[in-house]
Amino acid sequence: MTKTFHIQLMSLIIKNKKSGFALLYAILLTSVVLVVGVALINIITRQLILTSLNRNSQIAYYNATSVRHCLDFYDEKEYFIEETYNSYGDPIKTINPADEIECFGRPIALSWLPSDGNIYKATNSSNFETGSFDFSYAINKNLVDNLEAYRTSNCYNSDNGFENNCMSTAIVKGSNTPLGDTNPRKVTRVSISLR
Amino acid sequence: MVEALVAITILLIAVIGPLSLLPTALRDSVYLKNEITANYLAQEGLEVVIYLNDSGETLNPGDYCVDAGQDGRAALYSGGDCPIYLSGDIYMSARSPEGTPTIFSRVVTISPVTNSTAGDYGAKELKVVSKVIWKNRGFLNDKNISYTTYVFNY
Repeated sequence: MTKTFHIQLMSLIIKNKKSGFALLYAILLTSVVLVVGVALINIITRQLILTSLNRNSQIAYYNATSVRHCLDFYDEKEYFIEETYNSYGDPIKTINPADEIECFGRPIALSWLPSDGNIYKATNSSNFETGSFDFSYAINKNLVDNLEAYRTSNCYNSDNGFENNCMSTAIVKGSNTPLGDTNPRKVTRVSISLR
Repeated sequence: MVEALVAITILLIAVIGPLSLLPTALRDSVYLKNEITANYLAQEGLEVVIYLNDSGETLNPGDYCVDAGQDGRAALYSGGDCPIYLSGDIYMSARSPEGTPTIFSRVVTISPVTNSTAGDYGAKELKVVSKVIWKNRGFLNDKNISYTTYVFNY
């Protein structure tokens, strides 16, 4: 009796040792499928981020070029330059640092920095309907006074900085978000105009 | 028996979850492809207007289709929904409708901006919006993307 019970018990233990494989396979397969699923979600999320980055980059770029077009217009019309006469009656050109310009139907106040040698520089940063901009516009007094030097200057030579070689330099940064925004999707593009 | 039921349940949950994501992933992939194309078409619309402005053309307010000028000079012209055609690898305007119609259409809107200083110099400031609309298959709504820039026309 005791021996029969012992045999029955051993057979039950062996049977139990063989069970549990279906559950194990199920968990393993589930893990594999879950990993594939998570990888798929990851790829799609990255694609969405990349596409939004492209879109935001274009918005930032056109914000920068809009402001650069505005600065180019005033620069080309010599808005900041006036002609006066010296003691001999000869016409000379000097810089007239106007307080503001008008872009996209609104006044843009200019903060002129103290003259640094021959360079007069104005800055402004403001929010835009589709983001923000931050520009630096510089006029080289030396070249304004001396048109001969302007004609022969090598504006595109970046030695000593463009501001020392060009008559005017506009560097505009455009962003797709308002100023001070710490959004990780923030993109900043720069548009430069040299004369 | 119980073990098998538990295993089947776990498998069903694990398989149905990711499988239900597949149609979404495929739809998003198509959407992204279309959005990238629309992105460049909208960009091209603005660049054509900037090019014409820099070339000294007079720009007047209104809605325009854009001929990017694959075979000639880029130009703006008036006309309806401005569908885009695909000829080989090149997207064409309805002005030279070669190839097959696409799901895209592009309208450039030029509107005046009040700028008295520009007026004093005989110039006008213009707001330029390039908008591309594309139709999605199935029940998805039409999508659009637009970029804006400002130019001085003189």
